[in-house]
Amino acid sequence: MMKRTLLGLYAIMAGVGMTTAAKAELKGDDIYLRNCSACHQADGNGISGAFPALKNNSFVTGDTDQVIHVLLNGRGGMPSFNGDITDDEIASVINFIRSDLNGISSDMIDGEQVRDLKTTERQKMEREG
Amino acid sequence: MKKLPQFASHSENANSTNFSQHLTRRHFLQALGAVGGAGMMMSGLSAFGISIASAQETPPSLSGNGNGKRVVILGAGLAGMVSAYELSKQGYECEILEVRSFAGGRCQTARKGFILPQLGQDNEVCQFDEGQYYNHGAWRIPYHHRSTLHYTREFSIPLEIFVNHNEAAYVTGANANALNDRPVRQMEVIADMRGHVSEILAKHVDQNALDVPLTQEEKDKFLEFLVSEGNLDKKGLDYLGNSGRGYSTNPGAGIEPGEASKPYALNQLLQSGLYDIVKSVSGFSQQKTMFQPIGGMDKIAKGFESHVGNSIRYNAKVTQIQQGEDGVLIDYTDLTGGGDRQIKGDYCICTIPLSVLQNIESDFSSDFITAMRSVSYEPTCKLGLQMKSRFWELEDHIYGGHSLTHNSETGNISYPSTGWQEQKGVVQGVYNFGSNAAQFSAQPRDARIDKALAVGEKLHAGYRRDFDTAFNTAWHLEPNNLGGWADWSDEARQNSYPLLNEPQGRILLAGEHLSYLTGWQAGAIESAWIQIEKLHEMAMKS
Repeated sequence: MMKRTLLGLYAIMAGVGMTTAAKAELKGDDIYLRNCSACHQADGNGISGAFPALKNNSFVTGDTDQVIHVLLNGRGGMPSFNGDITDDEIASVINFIRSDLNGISSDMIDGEQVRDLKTTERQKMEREG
Repeated sequence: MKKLPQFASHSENANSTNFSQHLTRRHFLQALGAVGGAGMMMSGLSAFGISIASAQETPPSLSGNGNGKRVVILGAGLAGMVSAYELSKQGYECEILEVRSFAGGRCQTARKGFILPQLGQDNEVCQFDEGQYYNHGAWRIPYHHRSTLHYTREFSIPLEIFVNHNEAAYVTGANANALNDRPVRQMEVIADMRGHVSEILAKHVDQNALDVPLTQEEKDKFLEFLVSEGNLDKKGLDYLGNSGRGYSTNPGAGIEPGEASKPYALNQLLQSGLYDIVKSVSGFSQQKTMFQPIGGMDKIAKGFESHVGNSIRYNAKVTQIQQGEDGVLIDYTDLTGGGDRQIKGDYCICTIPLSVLQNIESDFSSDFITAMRSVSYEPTCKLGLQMKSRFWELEDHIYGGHSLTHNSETGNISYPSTGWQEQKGVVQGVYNFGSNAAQFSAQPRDARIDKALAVGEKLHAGYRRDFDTAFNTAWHLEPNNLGGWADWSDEARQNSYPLLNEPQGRILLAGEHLSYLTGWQAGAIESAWIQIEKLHEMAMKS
């Protein structure tokens, strides 16, 4: 069941050839513009009362795993991006948001950290499930 | 092959918990290849053990009189207007605050001049011809949504059939070219998949290779079923085709008997990936018989408005919600320049979407606010394309229904179920969800339209040729909704949902978000019915 559904999804992606996952990796700023800017705005200032600013945002400059978690699972009005952009792209866009929008140069992450968190969360769910 | 695979292993209900651990709900829903939207969501939700039946047929019958007690209702969508309509009958004095300049909430219809605000972008202004319209919010009424049909009957709103299923419409995407270079009609795939499956099963039964305890008589009946179900040749039990999949040359008059079409091979069908559209029956929320009001979905809004319109204060943006022991106090801004105002009531029914409500100042308990924040709202875009000709009818012989694209970026293509054979019409070229909707709405308006046309022109020669003008909507960018509908996780349903259904002092919430019919008008109506009953009970005790 599981596998079949996943394969079905990949077939859909491969067939249309339009998802970012199937394409060459994009840079953080491009990924941001494509996926985040409709709500958080191109300048990262968000829209007051609707979409939080990602600029000068203590959540995004905090624990990177929590930020990855939100990109993978969504929150509030924000959808999950898991599977729509690659793990490496998730890392790139988080690095972009932390560095370019918040001036943080430490704790740069990579796709490996995203994959690790996925594994940890899945194991946790399997234990609890 | 002694043991055949289990029959039910691929049902939507199989393995629901397991699978939610690995796939996001949305990915699963997209993989289903269903028609889309709230409807698609709903059919998928059954995989999570969530019932979607419209449970109530009529408003609650209330005894006792409200005696002029004042109810302030926030929002003139269906939940708000149902509340006002029913409570007024019961002797309550109702006042509705509505932020928009019109009633209906997401029960909206775009016509020439209609303006949809979009956060961070230009307003979308409808430039259709006079007489053309598009239901960019609620668009379908399944026959079993008896609560919605209760009011269309009560207000004498004429309905017409919404064609929710049309096997003559196309299916594409995945690896469709494994089947054909030309667009493939759904009936071809459905006939052939069912034919091949029936053939395989029938031959196993016939050769006693089926490890299922059946008597000879039962086997004969099972064979009879398979021959009929798959349209098999009775003698050889072969699937040789089916007139229902369409002819190469249609039968006609005179000496034209027609020429049968040749079925696709099973391996072709499997390689195409298109087999996922084949289902034994429609999902409960995706029934073939659906309705829409003649002239636009907002006829329902107008029906309510004609009864409760006098109680609505339009352009009233709620800024603060407070309550004391003896009443509620609502602050609002009159957006037409009337400044900040206050209104008092004995009770309040708040139908503001939780996505918006959580940003409004209130004195709700911290538990309640936490509960409100645990819900997600589904990002979703819809794009209506006014076409200069009804080429899908004239050239492709498709009358209503949906072409299934397997393209999660734009979603499926839906044809209008009204205005048959007229000159122009509005096709729904995009209906997408989640991150696809977030990505789509980040693109410039022209690029979105172009993307939609690029999908449709692969199916219809006329799609780009006859494109006229578009109406673009992103519900997550609509400031008074911030999303298409509430999307409850299993966890939030369990931990937060019950509290939000309970009265908070003198305030009760209502709306599609407080139902198991999220995204449907019936959810809003039935939630209001439940909450006014609770309100009335409280009022009778005081």
